[in-house]
Amino acid sequence: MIRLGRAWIALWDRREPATALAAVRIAIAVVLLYDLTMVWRLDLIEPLWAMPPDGYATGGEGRWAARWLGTDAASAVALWSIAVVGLIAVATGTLTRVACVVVALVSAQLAHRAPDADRGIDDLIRVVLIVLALSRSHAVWSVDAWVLRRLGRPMPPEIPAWPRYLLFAQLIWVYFSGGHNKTGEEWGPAGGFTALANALADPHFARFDPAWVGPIYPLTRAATAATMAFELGAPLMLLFTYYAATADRPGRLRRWCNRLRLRWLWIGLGVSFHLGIALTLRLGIFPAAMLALYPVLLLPGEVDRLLRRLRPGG
Amino acid sequence: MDLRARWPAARAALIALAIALGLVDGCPIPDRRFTPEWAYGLVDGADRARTAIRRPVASLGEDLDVSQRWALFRGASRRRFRLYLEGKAATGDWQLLHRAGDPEHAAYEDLLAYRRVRGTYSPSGQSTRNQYHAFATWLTLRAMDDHPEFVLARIRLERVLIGEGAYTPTGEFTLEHQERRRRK
Repeated sequence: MIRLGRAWIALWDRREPATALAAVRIAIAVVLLYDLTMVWRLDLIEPLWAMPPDGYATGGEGRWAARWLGTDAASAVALWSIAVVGLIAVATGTLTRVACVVVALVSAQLAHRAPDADRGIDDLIRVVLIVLALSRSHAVWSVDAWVLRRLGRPMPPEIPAWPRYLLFAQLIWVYFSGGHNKTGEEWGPAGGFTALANALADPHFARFDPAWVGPIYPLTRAATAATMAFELGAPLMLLFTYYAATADRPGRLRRWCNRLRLRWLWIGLGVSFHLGIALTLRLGIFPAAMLALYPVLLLPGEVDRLLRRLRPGG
Repeated sequence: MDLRARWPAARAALIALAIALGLVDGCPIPDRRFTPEWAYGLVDGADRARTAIRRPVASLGEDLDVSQRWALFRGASRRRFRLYLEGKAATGDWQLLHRAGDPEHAAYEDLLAYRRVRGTYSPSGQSTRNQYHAFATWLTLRAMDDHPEFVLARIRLERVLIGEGAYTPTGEFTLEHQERRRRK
């Protein structure tokens, strides 16, 4: 028991380069900025987040934003503007920790005002921002790091790894929880794995006329089964990653998992799943925001190798 | 006492607590409505235990509007809906402005397809969204603002049946919401 406790403490005390968390910080902020720009472009700031007659918000009374700013059109514009400025700060790594907290708090106020307009992905982004606020994701690719360097107090090259581990666990849980909450029979054998075909033909979600779905109907059923296997099998990713990180240790199962590249298979399935969704369904920022979290799935050495490859002449 | 030396242990304990609370929050306790009668006691007991465990941190979750129960695209059943937006002039029939999935009637397409807007009208499973009528009022009034010839506007949802990658309209409508032009 004591050994287990020590191993647990040692796990959360590890350090690693900041690149993965910095990539997540920038990607999430850019995705949400794009979404808020869409709100502005569609002239929806007031309709979504102001009370009638300016908009159709239905909640948020008694919350701090309503007490300080009211619930009218001007308050909606003010909250949107704070979120946009905050996200620019998160993306550029300017007063990063404060910016992450501010954006999470403002996003929650917007969610209280328009509960149906706040989707699961917004909920997830708030969790991510809180974890990023506790991390040192601003140690690289940030104004904060640049300023500290200029002041002669550079941030250490390695940062605590635990926020990345937490985001990793969060991502795994999102998929697993999503899997066991899909209780409709269309997601399982009783309903013939028809869920994806149904979604692709749903007039509110389909990106294209559903005529193309008929000829590939059996494929959509296989894809539904693969989605369920991917989501319900998500906890295995913890094992696959542990095996990949300790590849030099003995063990037949470890060797077998690493040789079959099961970890990369799971990541590849996830990427295809989200790209497929982005291509065929109109689900807004959901696929992009989920993929923005994928850097946390990579081992520190893999992130650096990837970055070296991406550099010109790398 | 060297606090710095004890910090890793304290942090590991806090992380363990956060993970445990998250797992309790996200634990898939079945809805009582879909549970056999013999399991009511079990489900109710589990729900009470979850509420009690969450109580000390519940306000944090509510303020930040976060939870650990994730439903990624749960509703993909055969019985779905499509939105209609229509307007009516003083003399004349209803004029169809928008019908979901119909490129011939695609007014307000970008707006209505935007995820946050769709979330307020597209039913979750078979359940009406809480903001549906507030949204319906806003949209119908906006349609009349944009079309001065209309004296009346309505939105409603037609039930559609999906099968083998196509949908069949049923001609059965629900959640009709009408607004008459209001005097300024």
